[in-house]
Order: sequence, then structure tokens, then C-alpha cells
Amino acid sequence: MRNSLRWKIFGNILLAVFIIFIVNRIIAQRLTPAAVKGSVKEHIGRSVAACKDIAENRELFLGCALQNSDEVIYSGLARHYILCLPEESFSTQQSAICRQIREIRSNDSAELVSHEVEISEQTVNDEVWFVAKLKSNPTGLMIVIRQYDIDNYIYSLWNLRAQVVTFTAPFIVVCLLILTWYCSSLIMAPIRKIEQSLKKLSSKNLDQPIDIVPVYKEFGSFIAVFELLRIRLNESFVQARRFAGDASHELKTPLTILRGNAERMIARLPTGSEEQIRMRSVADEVERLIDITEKLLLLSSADANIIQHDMKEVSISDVIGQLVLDSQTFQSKFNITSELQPKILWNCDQNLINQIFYNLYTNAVKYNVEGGWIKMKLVTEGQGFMFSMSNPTANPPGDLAKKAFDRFYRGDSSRARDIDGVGLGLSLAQEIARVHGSELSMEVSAENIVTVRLSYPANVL
Amino acid sequence: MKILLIEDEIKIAEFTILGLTSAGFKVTHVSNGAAGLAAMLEGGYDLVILDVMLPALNGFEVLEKARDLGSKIPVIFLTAKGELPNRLKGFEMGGDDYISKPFFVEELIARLKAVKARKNNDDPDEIVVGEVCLNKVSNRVSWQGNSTLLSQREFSLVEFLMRTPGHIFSRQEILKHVWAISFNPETNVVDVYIQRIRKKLNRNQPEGIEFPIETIRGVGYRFCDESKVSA
Repeated sequence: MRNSLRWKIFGNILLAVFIIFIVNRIIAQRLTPAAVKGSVKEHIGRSVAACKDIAENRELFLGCALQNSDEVIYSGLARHYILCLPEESFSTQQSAICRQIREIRSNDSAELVSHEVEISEQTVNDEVWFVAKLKSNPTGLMIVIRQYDIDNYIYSLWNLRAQVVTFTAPFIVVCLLILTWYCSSLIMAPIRKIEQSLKKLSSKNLDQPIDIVPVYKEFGSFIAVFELLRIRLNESFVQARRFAGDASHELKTPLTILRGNAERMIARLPTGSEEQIRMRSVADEVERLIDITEKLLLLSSADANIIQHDMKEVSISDVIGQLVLDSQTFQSKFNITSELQPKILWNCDQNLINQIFYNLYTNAVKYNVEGGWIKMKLVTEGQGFMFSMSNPTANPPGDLAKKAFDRFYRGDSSRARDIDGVGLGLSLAQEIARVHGSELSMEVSAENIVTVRLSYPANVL
Repeated sequence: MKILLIEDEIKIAEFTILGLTSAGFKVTHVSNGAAGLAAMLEGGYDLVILDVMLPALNGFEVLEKARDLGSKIPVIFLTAKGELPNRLKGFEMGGDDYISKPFFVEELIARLKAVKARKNNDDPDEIVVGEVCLNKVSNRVSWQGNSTLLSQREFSLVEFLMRTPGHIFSRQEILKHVWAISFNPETNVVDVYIQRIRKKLNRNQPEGIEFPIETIRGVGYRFCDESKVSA
């Protein structure tokens, strides 16, 4: 199965979103801890400076520290702040940490946040602590926070984020899908239009310009290319058509002269002589050439949509009735039967129509079986009629029904050699049928019975 | 009979002239419309064969001008096959008949005679060749004191052969003209009809005297000028 452009676009966008998401996450995971640590340090520094006067009450101090910051992140972290007051009297775990940090008193890693606060990182019991204290520190006030708590806090934030992503992912995918559908419809719309217009193109209307106004300027050149292609195609088609027509036309004069001279020689040669018989077969072959030439000329006019016709209302029942009568006198070896509904009228060119019927009849005779039969049937059907001619045949090629209307197709080549003809009759009959708005079709049954149908009006698919 | 042939294709003209002259017509040939019109107006011809596709003036224009200037000479158009509207136009313009290319000279000659006869109002009800008399009104053929009614097809067949006596027609040509079919229907219907006509007419005839439709083995049939007496 071929890929769908929509699914391809959708897949690509999905992949792109996924990659962006992953890259974003990796970068964020790398950069966030450092950034958070930096800003936590800054925050504790600022808090010490701003809230030193109410340090005695931890609740008030934390409230003040939070007021100094408008970022939500610190409200979560602030509960991990440890407030080290100068007069540490009770021996809690927190006081022990404060004492230990005070004892280290290493200022090596200290950095200044402002002119009055300094921040440092201290290691106590293999744990890293961030310490903020006043530079001139008469009270000994400090805020300390364990790096482990910050890491933990960041980790829980990531977890929260991952949860949110899990919930929103399906929604995002659906949105992407809708977006893709919308975008691809937008892109496909002008292409569809072009497609529909091109579908209408056939050998019969190649000379008419492609009727599309490009909605978007991006498609202007695309349509222009198609138009150019159509013009080139039409030119070569016209040339090929004209060639067949011209060639047939040019052949007429020499063939007329050839036939005339052959006829004259037949008249002059000794009656019944070998030479006379030979000349007769020459004249017959020339006649055959003239017949082929005329058919080619008619076919090339059909291709150019210029078959000239003289439409009149004709009783098709009578025309076929005459064919049945003629065929019954022509052939005694076949059983020819008919079932004709009388008084069916058709607006047609009788000369051209006769070519269809006689051609079908000739084929039915040529490709019949020993002691076979031909059946003709004419019935009204809807607003029009349906004519069919059936006959049994021996070993028809499997693709007969498909190829029978091809030009110069002669069926089974080993058998065709014994049968007179060039293989133009049916294709010509089909063109004539088309000129009359009708349709010629062939069907071969499992019992090797060939049925050719002429239906009017044609079933336009 | 003096014929004016207006045709620009030299080869077709030569071939037509040859055929017509050997049939006893006097032919003058011009190869363009303007010269043709001048010759038509000059007079002195019994009939004009006029090609439609001509340089200078086309066939229709030539006829239109000639008719405007009072010429009533009979005209047969030469048209390319399939140009049906052209044919109809030819009749509207006052043409008397048309023949489409490629054509048989014999057919042209038969048409010439028919048009001429119609124009002179001497299109007879009977065609007589040698001892055979064909009556178009009663559909009967008389020969050797024997008068027989023919069916429409039988009559058309005898008439077709009698129009150009001596010329050998192939079965295909006979089918084309008598049955109006231009394909090979793999039939022996022509032979069947010829046999039937012979049978009707040879009845009650003495041994050795046969109706003058002759079979040329491997070639076709012809109508003999004089009744043939076989030894």
C-alpha cells in the first residue's frame, strides 16, 4: 500500500514535537539545578539582609523572606530553611547544624551577594549546605539550607511536570492530528482541483486550455507547467493525427490510378488467362489498400473530433431488419436468428451506422464455428435501445474483450492469418458509436460465446 | 460527347482522360477554377466534371458563378470521400451528380451517360444492349422472346452489368454497387444471384444459347455486347 501524505506529515510533526520535548528536557535537567541553586543562594542572602530584625520569630522571618520574593518556587523551599539564631539554647538537630557550621567558619568559598551579605557553601557530615549571613555579623544570624533538600525539591518539581505532560500528551497529539489534517487539506485543495481538471483531459479535448485559476501564488507555476505540457502534448497529437490523415489522403490518388490501370488491364488481357486472374488479385489488393486508407482517414477524423455526419431520424429496427435479411441471403451455413423490437427510431447518420452493423456482422461470420449461429437482438432500454449480436467462437484469446477495440488488433494471431481483415473495423465502429453518443462493448462468456452490444445512450461513468 | 474536366491533380486528370477517351469521349482538361469557369462560359461542351478542391476558385464557387451567368451545362462533382456536407452543398448549388474519389472510370462513364440522358429528358424506361431489353417500369427483362420478371436485387444486378457492357466486374465490386456494402461478407451471394438469373432466362432456350452474363473464372462477371453462342 502506498503511504498517505497526511499520515506522513502527522508522523513527522509528532516526531519533531517529541524530539523538541526530549531536547528541552535534557537541557532543562542540565541547567535547572544550577540555576535554582543560584537563585536560592540569592534568595537566602536577600532574606537575611531584609529580615534580620525579626529573626527571633521563625514564622515571621519566613513570611518576610517570602514577601521579598515573588517567585513561587521559594515558598516550597522556604520550609527547608534553617534559621540559625545567635543565642542557640536548645540542642535540637537544627541547632547542632548551626553550631557545626559556625565552627567550620571557613570563608574560602564565600561570595558576596550585596555589600552586607555573604554566601558560602559548607560541608558538614559529608553534606553540602548553603549558608547566608551578614558580613558584619554581630548577632550571628544565618540561614542555611541543605543542597540535598534543594535537589529533592527540584526532583519533585520534575515529577510534577512529568505528570502534567502525561495528562496533556493525548490532547497535544489530537491537536497535532487536527492541525495536520487541516494543513494537508489546505495544501491538497488546489492539487485536487488540478487533478480534477486533468482528469477531464482526453485525446478529444487536448486542444482546450486547462481551466484552473490558481488560488495561491505558489501553485501558479505548477499549473503553468501543466498547461505547457498540455500544449506540447496537443501539438504532437495534432501532428500525429495530421500525419495519418495526410498520409491516407496522399495515398488516394496513386491508389485510384493503380486501380484504374489494373481494371483496364483486366479488360484487355485475354479472357480467362492466368495474367487476367493475377491482375484481378492485384486490383483486389489495391481495393483493400483503398479500404484501409479510408478507414484510417475516418479514424484520424474521429481522433480530431471532425467526423462529418448527416444526422437524420432513422428506424434502426428497419436498418437491422435489412441486415438480417441480407445476411440470411449471404450465408446458408450459419443459422441466423433475430429478435427485433419494431419501430425503434434513432437520430443517426445511416451511412456511418451501417458500418457498425456490417462490421459486427462480418466479424460474427469470420470468427464463427463450423455450423454455428448468429443471433441479433434489439430492445428498447430506458430512453434508448440496446442492440446485441452474439455468436459462438473457437478458442477466443483471454483478453479479447479488453483488446478487441484496439487498432490493428486481430485476435489470436495463428488463426487471424487465415482470416481476411486488418483489425480496424471494430475500433472504427467504436468511434462511430461514440460520435452518436452510444457505446460499443464486448463480452465473452465461459461457453466461448462472443456478444457485442451497442447501447444508446452510452453509460457515462 | 464533349467533356470539360476541371481537375488540378495532374495524375488523376491523366488517368481520367485516358479512360474517357478510350470510351469515345472528347475531353478538354483545365487545371484551375478560374480557367475552368472561363471554359464553361465559352460553351461548346456537353458536360463538366468539376473537382471541389481547386486552386484559384473552388468547385462550388465555379459552379455558383457559372449558374449566375446563365450556364445550364450539366455538372458532376468530384469529391473526397467522407465530405458528406460537401456533397449536399454540391446538389444545393445545382450540381447534377457527384462521384467520390477514389472512383472507377467505368462508374464515372455510367454517371456521365445517366446525367446526360436525364438532362435531355431521354432517360428511357428501357435499357437495350444487343438482344437484351431491361424495362425499368415493369422490372422485366426480355431476351430471345422470353420475358421474365426479376426481383429488385436481380434487376439491379442485371442493370449494373448492362450499364457498362463488356467490362469485367469483380464480385466485390458487384456487392458494393448492387448490395451497397463495401466490405467482404464472405458470401457467394453474387454467384447465387447470377445462377438464379441465368436459370430464369435460359429456361425454354435451345441447348447452347445462354443469357449474355459471362463468368470470367477467377476474375468476375461481365455483360457481353452480343449474345454469346457457345460451341
